[in-house]
Amino acid sequence: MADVRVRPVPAPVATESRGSASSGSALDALMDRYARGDDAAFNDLFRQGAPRVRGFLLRMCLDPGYADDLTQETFLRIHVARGRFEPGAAALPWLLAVARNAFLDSTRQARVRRNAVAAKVAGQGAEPEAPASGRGDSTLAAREMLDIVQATLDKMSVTLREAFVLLRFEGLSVAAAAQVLGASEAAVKVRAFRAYELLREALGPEVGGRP
Amino acid sequence: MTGERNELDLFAGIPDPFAGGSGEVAASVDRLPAPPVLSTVPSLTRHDQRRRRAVAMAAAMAWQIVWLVAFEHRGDLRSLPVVRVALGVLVPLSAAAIAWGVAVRRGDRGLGAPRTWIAAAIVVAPLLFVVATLAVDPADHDASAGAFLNRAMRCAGVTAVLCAPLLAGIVFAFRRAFVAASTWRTAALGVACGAVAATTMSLVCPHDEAGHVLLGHGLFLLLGGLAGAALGKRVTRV
Repeated sequence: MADVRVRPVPAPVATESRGSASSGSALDALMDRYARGDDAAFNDLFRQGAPRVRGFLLRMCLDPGYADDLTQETFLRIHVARGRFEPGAAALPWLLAVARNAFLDSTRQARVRRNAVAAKVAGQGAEPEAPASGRGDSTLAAREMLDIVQATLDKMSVTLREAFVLLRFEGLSVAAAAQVLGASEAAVKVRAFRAYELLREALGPEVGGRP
Repeated sequence: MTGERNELDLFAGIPDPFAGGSGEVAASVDRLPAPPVLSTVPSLTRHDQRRRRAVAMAAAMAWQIVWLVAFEHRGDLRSLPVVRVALGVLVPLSAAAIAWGVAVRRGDRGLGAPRTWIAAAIVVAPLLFVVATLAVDPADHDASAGAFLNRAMRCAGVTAVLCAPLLAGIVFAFRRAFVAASTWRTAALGVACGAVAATTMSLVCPHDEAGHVLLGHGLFLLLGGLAGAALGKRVTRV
């Protein structure tokens, strides 16, 4: 097998919006090539898939360094299990499901570390990612709102958080999220709406989008 | 889909604490340390996986056939009505096929069948075996409880010997195979293995009483499922 040491390069993110079947086709094709044994596809797969995987993991663990480690672990698992990727399947839900497994295993094995990270994040006043200057969310009110969302996500159970993150932030359909989570669609909806209610309650009545 | 989108549009009111667009996330990925040299990590391609699965299945089936040919099979096999033999074989095989089919199903996104389907198959497959066994229960029973238990325990032992290598081989073939619902899917594989062992037992054991068949032969549909569930997270999950 070829040496596939990677020098990651930023790339546009392939988005799978709800109901969209074709937007992730480049990622699907790359994953398919890699599953067939084309080692050279890994670099591009990492470049295109890692942003989505890391974004999901970041929203799950709320710590950039931890998300980086888990992204590495996820791509290692993807490498080991690449032959299990079915021909013609959608790559993004598959990648996110592997990422979720990596996250769950990691949190189970190191709950102490998880708690320490959570305490650290909370203690540092929530410093997830340095916001780009001039993006408009640098005002105090917006910052506070984001802190509340992050703190609430951190406090809620993983089952609620993952359902909400997949539907709200990763843009998966309920059916896709249900398969990623190995749960029924009804269960995913219930979990996501519970998470939404918790967030809305934390943010106050004027925020949250309730009509 | 429109209804779903309307419902989920409510979520848009919740701001993303990690927003910043794809550019920022991608820039963060750029800061990631390089992944390890993957050439040192064993990785089977799709072709390798298919071959491993085929070898495991062939070995598992060979074990059942070896047992029938070399060790034991029921002496009255040739004198039995064809329908009875067919039922004894086809019903547990159908149960195995249901459980197997759902466990290895590709699914819409390559993530397997929905969990509700798998759960249903795990219930339906043993239920089919139970109903069919009760339906063909012969009227003439040996009433001796001691003899019943002895026979059932002996058959359970043989079924265990038939089922355990089968399950071990199949679980090995599906090592790191299931990305989602691995516990449920491996449980379904366990049920399928138990059903295959029960099929072999229908050709090994001359006792057709429902109680005996359910306890001595069919118990491993349940135990196989439980063993599969226990192995799901540890062995078959990616």
